[in-house]
Amino acid sequence: MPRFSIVTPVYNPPPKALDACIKSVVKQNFPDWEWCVVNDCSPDPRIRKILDRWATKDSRIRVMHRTANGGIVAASQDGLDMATGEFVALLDHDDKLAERALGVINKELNTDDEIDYLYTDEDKIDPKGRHYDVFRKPKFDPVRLRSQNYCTHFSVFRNSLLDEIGGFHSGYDGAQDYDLILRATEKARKVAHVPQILYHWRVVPGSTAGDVHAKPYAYDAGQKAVHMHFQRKQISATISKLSPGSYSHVFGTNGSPLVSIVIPTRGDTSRVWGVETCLVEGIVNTILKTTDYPNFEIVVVRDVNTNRQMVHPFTLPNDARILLADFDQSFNLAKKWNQGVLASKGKVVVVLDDDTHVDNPEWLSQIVGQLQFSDIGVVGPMLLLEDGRISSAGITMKPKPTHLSHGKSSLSDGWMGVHSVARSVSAISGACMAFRRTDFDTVGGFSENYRISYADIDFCLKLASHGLRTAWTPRSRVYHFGARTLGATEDATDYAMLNSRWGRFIGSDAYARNNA
Amino acid sequence: MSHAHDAHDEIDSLADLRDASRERLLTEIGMLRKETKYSEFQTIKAKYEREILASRDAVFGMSAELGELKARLRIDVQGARQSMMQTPTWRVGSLVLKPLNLMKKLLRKN
Repeated sequence: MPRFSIVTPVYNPPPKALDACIKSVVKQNFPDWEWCVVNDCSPDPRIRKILDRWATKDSRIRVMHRTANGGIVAASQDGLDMATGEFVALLDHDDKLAERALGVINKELNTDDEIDYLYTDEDKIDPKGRHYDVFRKPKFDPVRLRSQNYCTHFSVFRNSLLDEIGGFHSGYDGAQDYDLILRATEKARKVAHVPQILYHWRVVPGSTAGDVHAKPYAYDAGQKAVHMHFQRKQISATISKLSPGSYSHVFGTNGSPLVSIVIPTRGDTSRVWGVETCLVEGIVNTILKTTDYPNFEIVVVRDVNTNRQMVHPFTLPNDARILLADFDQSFNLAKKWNQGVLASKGKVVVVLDDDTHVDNPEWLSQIVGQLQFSDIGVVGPMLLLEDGRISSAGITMKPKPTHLSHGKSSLSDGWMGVHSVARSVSAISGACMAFRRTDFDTVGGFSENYRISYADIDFCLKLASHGLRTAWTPRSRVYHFGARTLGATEDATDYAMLNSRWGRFIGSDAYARNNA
Repeated sequence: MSHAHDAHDEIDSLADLRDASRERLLTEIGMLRKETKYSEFQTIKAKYEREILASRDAVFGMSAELGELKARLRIDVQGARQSMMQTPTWRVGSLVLKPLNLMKKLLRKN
């Protein structure tokens, strides 16, 4: 049994590109492979000749000529049926592998017997053979995979896993690999990512690599694949197409658990969009007016003096959903958050700064909806600056804790759609974050060792050490006027604390590689 | 009497609430929640809950600090090893031992 079976459905590629593809496989510095090539009735007679010539040259190349054209799914499945290797790798008929690809992958697979699926970084080759568009991918991120097939090339599956999930399914032409990856990762014991460019995606006229609009049917199939993924997870969401290759999911609000929105405040007043506003009054009123989520309460944690009088008095609407919790100690944001959470009753808690504003009705339902996935521990929205640019699209730990995409346009999708799709990040801002109450209790809430900053990052990292990921979603948008609270100020003692606990995670970030 | 008017009436006695509408009762609950400060019991309960949280945080924090120290130790040991291998003593020693190591390898093969 060979270590690798490479599966390639072939349908009328440019002969030169096919030849280059074959050469890139034959030149592999790791010899233990077989190549299952399925010619899906290519009309160009040269294709058959090329394939037969190479099959006689190298016994590891096994060619099957179909008698009738069956389409990419049928041809790929024929290839899978031919595969006898321990692992199956998918290669398109006009693309190229790096010479060391199988060797590097074999080395990675040898590190852990439980790796069932593996993918690598990739780039593109133009018609003149020049390499461009290097895609340095993040480590495995099921949140992002639900929105776009960022894994694609080069994908390697354990053959027994493909048997278990029933190989390719018909009806997904053009997105058959996306459907396969979604189903495989749902069952895989472990997924690995090799952060090296081992696959070169050729751009030829009419290919998806060159023109994202080339195969519109593929995006319908992709939408269906994501829809079926949500069905298998038994999570209700409406899947819609974003830019080609990307999908958004909008969670419904049926069976909504009680959500407690905890707002710590001093009762400060500030100028927002030119109007002098009491911040807490502003955000509470907009939440009550705007939010479409049916089941929530608001816990306002207010500063009081020793006589239990508000330090900065404010007035809130007369609404049974509003609760007040008093805070009479010296400033400590984590303590205030904890006090608010302890006074709340919701199964899900959202901590929200008072210097924020929401104007999209689904801001709450879309962050809370993500928590239906059991591997997600904390979720944050896209935070916007007062002028609508991005304030935070998550937090990266590289080179030190920093907001991702700060100051960039919230209207652009960003490189590979990073601003338009939900994805995992290392941490998110405490200006707005949602989590389950049970997880909050398990990890001991927010660490009160931090006085001003980093308790939010520490909380995300504590959840990560407990096996729960941090997710960010652009479907929920919250304006954060920032620098209007002490929470926006950095503190050297707090940073030292963060470094003593989590220093090993500062300086690199597997979710935010240089263009992931 | 409209619900709106009903909702803003003062409570004269508990009997007054017996026939009150659902809307009024909800409003009264909301107002009471706002007006009522933490009772002593609630304050004590919150204090102990905070202490439990702090203890759990300390456990997570200590295991994180342990991981951090292990990571730093690993880096320090690697660094020390590399700088040791750069020293003239080490280089001379490995040069002297080279023939001996070759002999060992050959003997093992045979």
